[in-house]
Amino acid sequence: MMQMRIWFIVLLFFTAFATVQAQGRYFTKTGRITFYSNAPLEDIEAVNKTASAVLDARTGQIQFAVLMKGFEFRKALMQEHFNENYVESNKYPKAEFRGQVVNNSSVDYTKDGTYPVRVKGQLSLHGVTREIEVPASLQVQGGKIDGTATFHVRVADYRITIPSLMKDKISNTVKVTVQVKLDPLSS
Amino acid sequence: MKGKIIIAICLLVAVAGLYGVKEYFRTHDDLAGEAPVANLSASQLITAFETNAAKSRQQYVDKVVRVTGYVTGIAAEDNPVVISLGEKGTMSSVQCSMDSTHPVTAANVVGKQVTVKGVCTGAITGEMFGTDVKLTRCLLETEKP
Repeated sequence: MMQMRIWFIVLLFFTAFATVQAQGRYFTKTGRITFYSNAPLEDIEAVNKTASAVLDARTGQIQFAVLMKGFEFRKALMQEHFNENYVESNKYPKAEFRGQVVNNSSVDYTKDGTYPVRVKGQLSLHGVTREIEVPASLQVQGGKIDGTATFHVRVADYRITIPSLMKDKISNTVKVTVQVKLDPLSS
Repeated sequence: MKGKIIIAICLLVAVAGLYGVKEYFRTHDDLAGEAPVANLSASQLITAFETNAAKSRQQYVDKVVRVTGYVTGIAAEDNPVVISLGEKGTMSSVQCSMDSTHPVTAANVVGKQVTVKGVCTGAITGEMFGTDVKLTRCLLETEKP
């Protein structure tokens, strides 16, 4: 009887621990952010696979940070122009998002499933900070979270100027896709 | 004389055109033959950015560095893969986005000590993140069990 009680207490402890962990913070250091711009001359596409992100499941607070020099283009010249002439990555080395899952209470982080959410916050890029609100999806599976979001950014909103020679060749909006696989932060 | 000038101009235009096309289609250099500016452990590189970010940016960003550390994780969903170097139990690590022309699979690196060469793109520091130093176009040089 005593032994059963001990087992019951141990089971309770692990259940409580798992619930606390599931409702805590989730993070990644290898988030994937791509941007795509349709252009008459050639489509412009780049990927950054080393975005850092943290989601606090209790409050819905979410934070992303990505280094601009980490965007990889297929063509070296395009990457150089992106860093030197457009985002000026020596002057503004990173882009950051700090925000909140607006409908965080509708997400059950302890239950597997796909939850449509809205994320609202401040996007800082090229020295400009603007508020954005975008639709996103959180897929909870086995204690981990897959987050995805796709949205459009107007380059002029972030004071990124397209040289007049290239104005007709480059789109003034870019499609940004965010894909993160968030692991629970156990500490 | 006039003919020679026309030929010279045509040659110049052709050379400039060829150079332009070559530049337009230029891909990234393979780092295999590049000499690194520094040989560091993952924790040395992290500490360098933590203690003096400005100096470390000058020393390492846009430069080839050689880093040794334990592989704490791999994101292998697509090619190129990203491997993380660091110590278990700490939030800080070095993320290496591998060069797709030098394939790495999860089986041959996870849990091992490896030496990686890549271009440093900087570091992200935050109270929620720890310090993350990022490398791109990396290739695996050596691995130890």
